[in-house]
Amino acid sequence: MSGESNLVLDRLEAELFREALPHLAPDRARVEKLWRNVAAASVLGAGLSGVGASVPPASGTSWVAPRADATPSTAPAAHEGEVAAPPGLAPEGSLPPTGLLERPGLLQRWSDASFGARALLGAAVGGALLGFAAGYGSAQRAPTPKAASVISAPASHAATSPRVSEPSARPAGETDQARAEAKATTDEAVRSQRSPLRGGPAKAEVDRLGATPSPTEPAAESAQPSFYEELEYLKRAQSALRQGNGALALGLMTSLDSIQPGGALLSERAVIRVLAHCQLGDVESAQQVAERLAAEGLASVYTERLENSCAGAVFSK
Amino acid sequence: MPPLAQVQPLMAPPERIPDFEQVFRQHVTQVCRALSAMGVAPHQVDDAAQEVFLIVHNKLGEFEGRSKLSTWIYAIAYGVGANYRAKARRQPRLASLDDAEVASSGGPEQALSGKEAARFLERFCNQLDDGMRDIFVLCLLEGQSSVDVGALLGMNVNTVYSRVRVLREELRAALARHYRLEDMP
Repeated sequence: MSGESNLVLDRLEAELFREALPHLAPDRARVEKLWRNVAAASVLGAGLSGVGASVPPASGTSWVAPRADATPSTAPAAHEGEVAAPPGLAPEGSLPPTGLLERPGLLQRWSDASFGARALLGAAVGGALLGFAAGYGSAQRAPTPKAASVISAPASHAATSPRVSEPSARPAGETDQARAEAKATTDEAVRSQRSPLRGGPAKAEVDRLGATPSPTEPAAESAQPSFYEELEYLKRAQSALRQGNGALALGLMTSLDSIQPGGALLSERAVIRVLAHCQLGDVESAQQVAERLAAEGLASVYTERLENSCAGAVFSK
Repeated sequence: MPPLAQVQPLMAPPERIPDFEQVFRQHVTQVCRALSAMGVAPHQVDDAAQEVFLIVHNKLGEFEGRSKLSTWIYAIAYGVGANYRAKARRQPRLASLDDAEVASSGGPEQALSGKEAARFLERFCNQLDDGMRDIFVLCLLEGQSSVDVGALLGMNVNTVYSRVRVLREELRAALARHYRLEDMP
């Protein structure tokens, strides 16, 4: 190719990138939506899922991150669903992957759908949830660790969650010191976040990040109850339950109740609450929710499933 | 030996861990762009970006400032993006607008504009294998250093350099085809 062609190509190449980059970036509305979702999910995950100690303070300066000392730094990160760590990284337990709460395209399509289509889809989803509830099996009856042990990152979770950290290696002595420091931080975080839903650091973090819209905000989207949004929450909660993360499931349901007190899937929400409480070993709370569910006549389709849960006594009375 | 007071200012202060929202806003554009260019399906880019920032949120306190924050975030995005790509490969792929040909523009004096340029790059990325695509995205699109990319991908830095050179040649060849510059005298 001639020298002139090369000069032209140099210019075209530079212009190609300059022109393309702005169009490959998300627009402002999408960024804001993403931020709301990330803020909500990170707070829920941090407060409830076992990584509570990982919430950095507002200043972001004095916080010492916990280190999971159970996982060897040379563990391969090549399994599916696990973020492959760059070479030399120390894999550690972290937040389980969380899907988006909102899907604008689907929401729009849902609001535009005819009543018949909504009813059909609602029935299909209800059936799926029923199947989930029925098929969840007797595993829930087995004794499960309480919230504190969930917060200390169970091995199964550590094996499936994304793992990435800074590409660096710590000297052995420093690592021991960091582990001791991290353990102290983790213990403190566990103590302070036993009841993240009743206030405390996680709640404060929610408020700080603005994940929960205040009543005075013109939060147009969250003010409009959306079936898909509710469904997304339920799916995520189911997924959390399957991964043995009852605390996250419970948090998702609480969050859903706060942004959308009514909805099409109230029974399912309550069933997930019962199962989550059971998974956390909180039989009393599970029974209370089950009793309310039974009293309101919402439990009929899930009776069999609930009878097999730790709150089964409520239904065998 | 100089007095300590003269030495201390020469030592780089540890990088302050920024506020999470600040980190998000500074890097969300690059993360979304990189995920998209890596081949994460358009409808999954936001999900993947959310996953990236959840990990960032979770690990931000562990960031020790030994590498640039942006490099660290790209490393996370790379891992998440690779997972999404692997999952998508097992699902049947529907034809999308991304596959449409980029309309040929008038001539080399008229560069591709905005959307056309973005489509051109997407199409170019789509024809690359995953390894080359990652290098293209990280080095050429996002401007990460070959050293950082080599460390991230577990690759010799010279290999990265040579692949970048090959990628640039391919891109220029594609541009030449697009503008029919091969016919130029």
